[in-house]
Amino acid sequence: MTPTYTLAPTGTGRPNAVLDLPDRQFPRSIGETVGPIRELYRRSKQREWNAATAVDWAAFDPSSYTDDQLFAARQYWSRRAWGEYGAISESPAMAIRYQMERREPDLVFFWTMRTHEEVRHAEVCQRMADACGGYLTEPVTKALEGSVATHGVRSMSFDADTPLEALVASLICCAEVIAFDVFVALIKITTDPVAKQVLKLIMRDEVRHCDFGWKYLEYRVPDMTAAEIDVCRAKVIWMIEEIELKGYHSSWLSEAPDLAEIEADRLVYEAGLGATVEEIERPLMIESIGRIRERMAPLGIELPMFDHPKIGQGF
Amino acid sequence: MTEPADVEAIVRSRSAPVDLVVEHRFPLGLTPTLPEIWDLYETSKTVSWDPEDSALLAGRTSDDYPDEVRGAAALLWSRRAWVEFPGMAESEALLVRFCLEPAREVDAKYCLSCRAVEKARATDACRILADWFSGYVDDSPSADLVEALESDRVRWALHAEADIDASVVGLLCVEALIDLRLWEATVDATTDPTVRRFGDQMLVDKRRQVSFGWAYLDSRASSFEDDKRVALSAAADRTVRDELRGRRVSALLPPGPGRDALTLAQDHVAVVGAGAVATADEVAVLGLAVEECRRSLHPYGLSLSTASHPERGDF
Repeated sequence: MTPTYTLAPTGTGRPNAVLDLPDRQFPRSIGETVGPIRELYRRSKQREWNAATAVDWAAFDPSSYTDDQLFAARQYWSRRAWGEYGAISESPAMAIRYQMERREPDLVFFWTMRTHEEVRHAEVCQRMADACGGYLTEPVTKALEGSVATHGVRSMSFDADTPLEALVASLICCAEVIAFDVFVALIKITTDPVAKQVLKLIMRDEVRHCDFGWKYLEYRVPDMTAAEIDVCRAKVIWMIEEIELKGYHSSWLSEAPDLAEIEADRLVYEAGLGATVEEIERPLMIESIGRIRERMAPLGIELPMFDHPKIGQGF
Repeated sequence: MTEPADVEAIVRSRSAPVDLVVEHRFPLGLTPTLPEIWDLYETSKTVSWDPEDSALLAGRTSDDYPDEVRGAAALLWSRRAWVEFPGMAESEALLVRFCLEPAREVDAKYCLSCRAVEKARATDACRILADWFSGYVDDSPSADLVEALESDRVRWALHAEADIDASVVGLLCVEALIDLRLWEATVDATTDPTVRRFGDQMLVDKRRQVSFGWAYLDSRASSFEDDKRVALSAAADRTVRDELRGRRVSALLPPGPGRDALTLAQDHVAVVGAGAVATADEVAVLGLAVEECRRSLHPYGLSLSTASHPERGDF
């Protein structure tokens, strides 16, 4: 049966129009509707962990590192905590959208766990920054505040002109998947046992976060029109060109990269305390975008080849 | 100061877009500052439970009950699921707002993410019990209940015109305490071991939610000025008015066949101990809970006006 949602009028230019939808509760479906997403919710419930106890914090040995390395690691792990916090501050807007649009109940169930998982990611990164000498409450370089703040998840979630499917395709199946692929490499190159443990715990959850996007797109695409799928395509291209390739996740891709941050990340990378660097990320970015292209193609989302002066042409 | 009635009109009206607070993310404190609330967060991480755990049903069926009772219990537990379900998006909205507001404590934000998870658990638990009896019912027999449950809570939480501490008082303190007292009475009156197991688990979560709300109010109260107290008292009044519309207590719904169906079902269930207090007793429990809210708000300079119900008189 084709789902019936309650959607806000589009093309009105009205901000936060999703929040103007009526607070309509009935009929209230609660049981399993999208099986693969309900299954992800179940897995989330079964695989909870506690940032305070799941990591062997006592095993961290700061004496193995120089002061410069530790200070760089404080910055790196604080920045990672800010990034995770972004998901706490902004992504709950997606759950609100699921409910306002009367989407399948599995989505909002899963999302409660997803937000909770982002909380423990922020907590575990903050604890790691503390272990390195102390969590920093703001960037050392004040100008970086904007770059770590947001790519607009909240405003897009409440924007009636951005269909939910386009949000899922661009934010999750694209941006989160690229971040995940970099993350997998990060775990391989991180040698500090405590940092590695932290990263592995986060990755356990991120697998589900990415899966959610693909499962929902696969569920929705058969009921979508070509025009609706095209909106998804345009949003994914925007995400790659305007966000990822402009350095949202990887500062070195930016037209005006922050050299102090890049230098600090290299120190952390060389110490095996958690960061990646340009030469590691460049091939990953190419592979990751290629995999996204391959996986989106059967869904009717055909991605073009991309160019970037620091990566090359036609990837 | 905008009068509370005007704020209500602004929040509920769809004539102008929802105005969101502008976030200033840095400095971003992620270190606990409210020990009592941080302890609640830590506790919630360690006492997780899963309504889908087969041990809760322990292989038992509800076949011992006559069909009439099973149908009544299914309706009653469905009704409870309808009340719990919106709590997920409502919690996510509160979390977004806490993150938008300047300098709100991370302890409270993390607890709100737990509240969303707990609301998901409670919804699922009520739905599972409804299914266990004879099947979840997805629509309300009472149009008045439909209206009572459609109260724009997400907009209340997010709209910049509405004081977020009003949602704290209304939802996290007053409503949570009323909910807890009604729930305790329900569990006390439950003799069915299966229903009792679910009820006890939900009770643990609800107690923690009440502790969180009131501890947070306590942490904020010294900064309240007179204008703010007026707004917060109005929120408490509004919450009680919502309850008197029959949000949780079916006997308070306006007279009609919808109310009759719900109260009859509840009394059937109460007689056999399958998870209900008799309707007449439940009104009394609500009255005591309202009085307790009134007493508990008083030390903070907050008042709870007497609210009248057309049939049941003053509360």
